[in-house]
Amino acid sequence: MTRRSITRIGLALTAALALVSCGNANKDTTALLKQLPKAIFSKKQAPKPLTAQQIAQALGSTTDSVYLFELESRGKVQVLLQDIQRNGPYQTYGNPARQVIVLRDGMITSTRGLGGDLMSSEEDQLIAYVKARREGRVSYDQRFLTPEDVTEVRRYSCYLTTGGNVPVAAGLVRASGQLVTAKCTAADGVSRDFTNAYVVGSDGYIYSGRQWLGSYIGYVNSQVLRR
Amino acid sequence: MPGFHNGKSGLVKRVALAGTILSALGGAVWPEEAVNSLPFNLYGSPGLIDMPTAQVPPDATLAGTYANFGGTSRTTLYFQILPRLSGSFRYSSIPNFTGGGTSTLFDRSFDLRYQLLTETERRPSVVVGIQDFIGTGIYSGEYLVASKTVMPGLTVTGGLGWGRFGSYQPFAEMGTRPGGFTGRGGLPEIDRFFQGDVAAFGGIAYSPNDRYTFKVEYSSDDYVEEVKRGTSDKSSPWNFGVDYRFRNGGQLSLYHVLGTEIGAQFTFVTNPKTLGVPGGTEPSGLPVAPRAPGTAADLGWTLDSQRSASVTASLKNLAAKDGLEVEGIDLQSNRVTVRLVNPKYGAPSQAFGRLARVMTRVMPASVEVFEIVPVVNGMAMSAVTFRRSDLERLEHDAANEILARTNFGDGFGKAPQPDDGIYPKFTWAISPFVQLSVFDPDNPVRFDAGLRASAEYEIMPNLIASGSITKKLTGNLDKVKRLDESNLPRVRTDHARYSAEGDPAIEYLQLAHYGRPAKNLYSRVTLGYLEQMYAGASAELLWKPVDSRLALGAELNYIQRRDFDQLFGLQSMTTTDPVTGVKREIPNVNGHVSAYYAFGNGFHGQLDVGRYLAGDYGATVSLDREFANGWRVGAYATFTDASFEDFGEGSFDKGIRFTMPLATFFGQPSRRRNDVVIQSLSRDGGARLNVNGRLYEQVRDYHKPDAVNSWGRFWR
Repeated sequence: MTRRSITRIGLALTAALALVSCGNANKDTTALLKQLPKAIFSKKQAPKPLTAQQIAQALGSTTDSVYLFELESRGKVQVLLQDIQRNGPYQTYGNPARQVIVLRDGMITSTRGLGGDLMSSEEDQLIAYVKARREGRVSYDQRFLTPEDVTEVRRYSCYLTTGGNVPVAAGLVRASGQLVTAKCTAADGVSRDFTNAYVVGSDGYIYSGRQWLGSYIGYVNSQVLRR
Repeated sequence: MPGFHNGKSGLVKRVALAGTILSALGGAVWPEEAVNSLPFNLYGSPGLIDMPTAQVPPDATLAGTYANFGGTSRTTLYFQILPRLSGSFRYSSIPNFTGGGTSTLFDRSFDLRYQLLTETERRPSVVVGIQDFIGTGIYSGEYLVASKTVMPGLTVTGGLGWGRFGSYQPFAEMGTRPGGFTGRGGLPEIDRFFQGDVAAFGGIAYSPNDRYTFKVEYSSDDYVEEVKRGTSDKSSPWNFGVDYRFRNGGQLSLYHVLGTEIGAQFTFVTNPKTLGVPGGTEPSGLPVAPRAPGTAADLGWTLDSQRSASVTASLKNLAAKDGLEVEGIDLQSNRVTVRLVNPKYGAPSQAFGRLARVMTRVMPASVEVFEIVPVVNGMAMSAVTFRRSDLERLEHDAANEILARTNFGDGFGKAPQPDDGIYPKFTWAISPFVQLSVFDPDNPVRFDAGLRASAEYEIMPNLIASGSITKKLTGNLDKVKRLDESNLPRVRTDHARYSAEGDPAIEYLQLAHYGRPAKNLYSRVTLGYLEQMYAGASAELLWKPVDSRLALGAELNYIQRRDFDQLFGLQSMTTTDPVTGVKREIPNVNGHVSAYYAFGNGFHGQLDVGRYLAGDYGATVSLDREFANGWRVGAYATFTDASFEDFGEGSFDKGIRFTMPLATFFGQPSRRRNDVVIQSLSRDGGARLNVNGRLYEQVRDYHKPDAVNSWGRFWR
């Protein structure tokens, strides 16, 4: 990642100075600086796809719902997240590293701890159409923080089309669902357009999907392993 | 001699971590923003080679340039203050320029540029610029320039120049351009602007791809003084150059200039608005745990002291995992008040948001109102109230939804007492330090490096003893040979002597008391060795309502001069000028009344009126551009009744300053920041006491106007 390497060079000197500090003040900063040598010197390893064994182990260690996510633009790195909290229609999935993806009936509505997170969405119209496997035009908003910490709303107009049925077989899930595609165009005419795809069960649950989560994260593939 | 700066070094103060400026300037760019392909010239301004263009980088762009040709070097910091207005600060050295061609001229200069017309399909961008408009004016020149991108990658520029830019083959004359400078330099030379000879310049820049730019220009600068003094040779008005652009926006250029010289430059480009990982990379906060329907009616639990104690313990424990300190809580059956210390999050909203989410997980179902009281140095800063049902309902909504239902109140008398066992509290640290002095008239960079030991003993939350000691390991700050004459008591001009003799040095050693005397009021009393040069007592009172953009303050100091060795000794307030031998008296009493105002559009102003260290009366005006993530870029100027003659070189005190929050470099939350002040000249007029712990910066963070700026981090 270019971003990473640039930061590495820039921070090397700062880190060299700061690492030798000691004391009981500013614990958070010291901790923050101590993780730098790894960030600076470790070689990036190509992420390996999760094995069937790892997936079975994850499913065996809990009875809660488990999801597999793949971040396409980050070397297709895969993460397993488990349901940790439900609030109304929203289910928060997380891992011990406190990376979090929030789903609403299988649709990603926000993320945390990934960097460049999708802070929240206005997805009511989109999800209603997707669940109903209905064609038509809907509006959809994604909210992000800028590096300046200002909330930025990206507004899209999405056109939904439906496709054929596809079988879903992953983890403990054996089902079939209909393909729904949402072609979304940025209202500002500048932000990148994207196309999301969902495999939707007969009850409206999204078994798997490919969703755009903004320019920093890119596309994320989701797959339920246990509902 | 025109253009000769003969003053003291401008001290870059409080540079805690060297290299941060460089890393700031070399930092990463938010990928969605197109990498800025706008070229900078040898003056560090948007331009071709030596001539300016009318191109304007995005708002808030910061660009640092180091350029060198034929032995002349220019270091420039460029800031896009507003979308159309920019300012530059430059430090240059021209060899064999002074002393009859034997010694190097070190000169500082400031520029301003304003975009009159933006570029459209039909018309070019038009910029008016005044270069080196303050001070002694070796680079003084004005221009009106137009640039048009005629096809992708090809930009054509043409302009008219005055002053330096009107010195080669002028075709007209507008009045007479006065020479010399006003007062002791350091003042805008308005009567010189757009006067004298007018000449034309122009050029073409062609970028076949986003890596390379080829440039050719016809220069209207004849390098009259440089050629006359033998510093440069000039045989042609045509300059040629090629730029290579790095992925992060940095620019490396090679030039052939004046027909005889080879030059090169490197430019770092960054922007506080786009620097760093958007939203940061820190782990998530805990999710809200909504109550099961109907459980809110569960009353009577507070009678159970065991349950109450376990709630307190879980709250402290979970908050600590998020880096927050819960020092005390006051539990009622349907309301809880929490005393919060936030050592971690630069954005107060993130601290509130994380604690509020933790509270939803541990508070009994009957508790509906959450009141969080952030405390700094024992002072309750505000009382921020949330309804738990709002937190449950709006967790996955836009952050401004919860903001609309958040109440900011005064924290006066609201903070629960800290629990037993927290105070007294002792913290200490030993760390390396680098003290830089740059832009010295004799030497571009001086520094001291060594170790600093600091400690803080919080006897009570609001009664704090603290101090720090430094021991030099290496450096050359004490090698300053210059003896400065001053017509005022030597309140700051002896700083080289303090540098030379203070090893080890007690930087400060003080006892401070902070308080909340009444609603909207904050107080500080500090006793001891207050700063490098002065000991004494300092008292401050600040009025700031929690939702007000305006604050008013007053500070009164009684001081005694410290010994040059900066140990425990004090010395007489009578100073002796090393050049004239004149003795002068430093008054014991100084102080200010201050007004602070956040304009709400990203700008912040401050006005301090009062008596300065040397006994001069006057005012300091400061204006900063502030970014929600904590970056600040600003300038200040001080005018006092000390005459320009008495002040000496520079006429009055002024400077530019930067605040760089560490969090933007690490992508992790932090309250640490670097403050850098580049003072034009460190003289005795308009100098203030550098007391630690002034109230306003502590108080404003947790008040509504500041907290709202970065409210998007509430659910981060």
